[in-house]
Amino acid sequence: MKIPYLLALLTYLPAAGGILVLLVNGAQEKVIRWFAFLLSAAVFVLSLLLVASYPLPAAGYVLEETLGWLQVPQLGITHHMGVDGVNLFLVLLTTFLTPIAILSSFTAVHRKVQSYYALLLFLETGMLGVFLALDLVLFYLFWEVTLVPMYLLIGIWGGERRIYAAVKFILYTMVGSLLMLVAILYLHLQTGTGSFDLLRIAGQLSSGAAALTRTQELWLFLAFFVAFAIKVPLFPFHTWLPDAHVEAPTAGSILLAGVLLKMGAYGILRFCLPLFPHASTAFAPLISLLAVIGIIYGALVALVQTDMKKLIAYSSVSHLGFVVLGIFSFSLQGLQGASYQMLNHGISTGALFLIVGILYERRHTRRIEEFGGIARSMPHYAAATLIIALSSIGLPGLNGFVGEFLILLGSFAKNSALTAVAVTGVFFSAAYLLWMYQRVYFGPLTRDENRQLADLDRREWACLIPLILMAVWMGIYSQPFLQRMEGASRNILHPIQSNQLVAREASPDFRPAASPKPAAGESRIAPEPRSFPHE
Amino acid sequence: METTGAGIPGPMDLIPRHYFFYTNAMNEPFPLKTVADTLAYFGQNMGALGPELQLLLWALIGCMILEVLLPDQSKRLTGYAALGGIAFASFHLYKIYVNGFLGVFFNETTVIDPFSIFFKALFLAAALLTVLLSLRFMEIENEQSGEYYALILLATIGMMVMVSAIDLLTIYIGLELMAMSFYILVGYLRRNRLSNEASLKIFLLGAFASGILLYGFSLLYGLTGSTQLSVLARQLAAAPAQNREMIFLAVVLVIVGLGFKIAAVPFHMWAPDAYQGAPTPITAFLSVGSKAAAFTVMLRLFLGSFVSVKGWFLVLGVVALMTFVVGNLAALLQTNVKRLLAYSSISHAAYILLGLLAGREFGGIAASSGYLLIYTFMNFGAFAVLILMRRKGIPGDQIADFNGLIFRHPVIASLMLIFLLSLAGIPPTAGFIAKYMVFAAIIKAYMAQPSAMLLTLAIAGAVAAVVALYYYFLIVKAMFTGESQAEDLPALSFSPGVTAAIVITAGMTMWVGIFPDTIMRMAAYAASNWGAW
Amino acid sequence: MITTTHYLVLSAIIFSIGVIGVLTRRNVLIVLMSIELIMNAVNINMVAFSHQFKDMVGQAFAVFVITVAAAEAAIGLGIVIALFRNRETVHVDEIDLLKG
Repeated sequence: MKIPYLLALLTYLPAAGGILVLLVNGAQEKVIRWFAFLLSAAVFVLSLLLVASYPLPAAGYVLEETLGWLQVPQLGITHHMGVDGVNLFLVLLTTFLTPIAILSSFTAVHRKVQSYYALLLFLETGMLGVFLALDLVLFYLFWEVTLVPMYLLIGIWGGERRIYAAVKFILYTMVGSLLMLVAILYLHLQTGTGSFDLLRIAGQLSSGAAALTRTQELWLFLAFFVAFAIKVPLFPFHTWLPDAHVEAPTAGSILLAGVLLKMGAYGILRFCLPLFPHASTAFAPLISLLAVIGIIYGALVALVQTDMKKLIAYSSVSHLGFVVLGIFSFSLQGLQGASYQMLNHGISTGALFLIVGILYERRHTRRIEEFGGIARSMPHYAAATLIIALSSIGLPGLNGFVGEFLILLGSFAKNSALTAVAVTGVFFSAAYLLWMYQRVYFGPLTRDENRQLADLDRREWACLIPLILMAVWMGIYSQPFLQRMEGASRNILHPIQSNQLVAREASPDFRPAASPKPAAGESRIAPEPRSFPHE
Repeated sequence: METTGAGIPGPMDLIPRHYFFYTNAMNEPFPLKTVADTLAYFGQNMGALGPELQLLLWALIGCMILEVLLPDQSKRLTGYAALGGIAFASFHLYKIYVNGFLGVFFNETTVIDPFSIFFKALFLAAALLTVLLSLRFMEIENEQSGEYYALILLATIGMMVMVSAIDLLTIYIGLELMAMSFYILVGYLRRNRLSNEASLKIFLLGAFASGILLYGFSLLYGLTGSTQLSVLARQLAAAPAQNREMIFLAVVLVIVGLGFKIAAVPFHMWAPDAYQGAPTPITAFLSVGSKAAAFTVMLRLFLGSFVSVKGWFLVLGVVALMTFVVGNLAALLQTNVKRLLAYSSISHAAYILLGLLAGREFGGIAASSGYLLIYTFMNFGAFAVLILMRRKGIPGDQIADFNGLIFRHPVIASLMLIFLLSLAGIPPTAGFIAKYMVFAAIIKAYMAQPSAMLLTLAIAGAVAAVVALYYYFLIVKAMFTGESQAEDLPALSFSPGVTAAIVITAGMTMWVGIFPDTIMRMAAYAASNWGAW
Repeated sequence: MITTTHYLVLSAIIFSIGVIGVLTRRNVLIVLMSIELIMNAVNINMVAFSHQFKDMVGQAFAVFVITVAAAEAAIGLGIVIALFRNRETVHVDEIDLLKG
């Protein structure tokens, strides 16, 4: 099935729904909830068309569309969107998590329901736009558009220190993104294509039609990278994250952890690496070091948290350190592992926040010492939590393992010492999650409040089951995902490797175990089409 | 002195020959010997001043005479007369635009070029919004009268004269007409001490600034022998080296004089006080119209007549930097929204200065013009919401007054959010487009001629935008998360005028933000054929 | 022989007196007078240059300045009277309701 302007439709449908929600009579809470949920579910179904129409093998953009937006050609801004292996699954992750986030707030939010769901839908538009945009200015626009709904979600429906957290969130992000805007403008003028189109600029740079001096490239890289690193968040730019997570409402946390953090890593993949290969290589050791520090630091701090949400927030810092480490290993496994780990983190951490949210709704506290032995009063809930926790830890057979394994494999070849340190992060993550699990779910039921806790109801099951299924599926059958990511990952690596910047270990012949469980007789993508598309 | 053998020159000898021969629109000599000639001459040139004359006519007849004739309770009609004047002036301006009635008029003192058409439209829009906002506001203040609207129209005429002026004398006349109207308008709430005080402050500093500006003009006249901007440009470029310090002094005096009018730091001290004390519609008009008019003069002078003068770039650059720092830091401390918007207006002036500093070749004029137009809409929008908050007995201009607005008036709170986001420059609102144009111009200039000043300015602009975000979000925070006040607050003072103003400004803010090409094309039009006269 | 330079020096002195007056005096009326001095310094300049260049524009300019200064003084005094009615003071230092 071919739908014209599918990408634009996907992107703007939630926002249109959000405006509709605002127009409905605010008293009809139920109508608003179900409308928002069904709309986002419809967007998810629509996004499945992207996979259905994704040809294999594919290297470049399988779907590209340009909308007639601005009539001034000399501006060079176009409404150019595209899908390739890098963003395909991030788009799906967004459309997948949004309905779950909406469903999870059915009982949690009763204040200003109209604005709440409208903001969630606006947020979805912003996130999808970020992932789909192939024009630098369009990307920047969507990047900023995600800020305000998130600010308001935290600021209005958040916890006690919500205002502090919301302001911190928006200021941190703005600092980075304004530098990025300046860099975008500079890059545009420097390349002289008269266009903000990523593909054209990248083509100019890689073909040598336009060149950046080394200094220019380093500064531009830094301006882009800091914006993305704040969003990821890479140590030491992470301090906004725990505050924002702790204060955000459950749905906000799910989307913040599940999708918004991925925007940073995606930006690095999409912009930093292809546009500034020299600078990326130059900074790679430093960034890898920061990533490993983040892995260890996040895990250690998570270990001592008493608030479950804060614990998960710090675990995010640790997990995303793995993602950055994988990206800057400049190897196919590392890159694919990073892309895969982004999805894993979205699913398992989203689910963890959901789980904490479910408990918070019942007990209005998230402090670990308030609980103990609730596996007895909520057996189903405990079982679901265990699966998710194990997937987050990276138990083989669940999704987290595949991603972390690939990342470590890729980065081991590059820097074995750092990788060895990073591996300890995996053990730490087992420690803090299982320890939390033990303290909350096992042991005697000491508190009376915890005896009467109701187990999961149907709606909560409906939220959790898709996540658990995905965690299992991605753990045992990663082939369909990795296969679609491979071509695009190669394209990203190409400018770096073609410049002979990376030592031989990342060369094509070191490519056997791209997937840990290669299906028999799988067709590998021919290594030949390695030129940058649209060159 | 230089008396020749012919003896002391008579008065007629002092008059240059070309003063007998006025030139018409085609630049043909046009002898003025008889009354009929004179009338014919003015007939030919008056078309250029059509919009101004319309406004004058309606201000004098529509507003002032109606004021005398109408009974007290229907004084509001004078406001409608002002609206009529603006409508007719707009129509006249539109005809000038459509017919391409461009050229130099009144013996090379007035020009109609795309730049002036663009800004006249901007001034008319600002005047329209001011009148719409005033209709109900002045009723609440019990100061409804015809002079008020007449003065708004006169100030608009002053601005329009300024933007058309290509002679120091014309600039001065327009500037004073505008400034004096504002002195009175700011103090229009006679029984309000704050208003009195604001009026005195703007008057003293405004008159002082005019004096300094004039002294600069007189030096320029002495250095070049002419008051025409085009002659000025030629003469300054050819000026001998020993005059350089004197030229620089004159230019600095002009910077000081105009710096007061655009409220750039360190000439800004009148602005917060005047903005806070003035009737709110006038505050909006002052922060948009008066600033835009002064900027048009700055653009004409600095990018037209003073291009060959060395040194002003550095002075203005430092002024812009200081404006960024002081405007934003002072805004952080405010608890009064009007005052906060005053400081925000100061920091916006710095962004507009960035466009000027980027220079003409790099799209600086278009950037500044577009910024001013966008600023008109978003700023008027924010002030319109502020006017809604003004109710009988409640000033409604403290940040605390906005507490919990989302619960009482969700639509108004959402619109205010749009205006504040736009002022902060966050997409997809118009404010982002404005900042985008300015940054694009300054970076383009930096890439052509790298200089530490341009780089510092670009970075300062980016940092200032983050700080600005913080103080705009003080209001957002109050609206969305503040504790709602007592239940028995009187309803907001809605009226057709304010509603219309809010709809226009919010619509423009969003529309321009999502489809910016129209505004960019308009800005490019404003910068086209620039200085071709 | 009085040359243009003499006029310029005179005007510069008057201008300086005006500026210093505005900046240091605290009585609104004296500040107003100082502003008038600045205007007159401008007029002297204009007329002197006009005479030097044999060009009427400067004198025309001076006439305009005089006219405008008169209007400005009228408005200024009106504002002072309005203020005096409400506050009974003409001292700048005591006019301090607006600050921050």
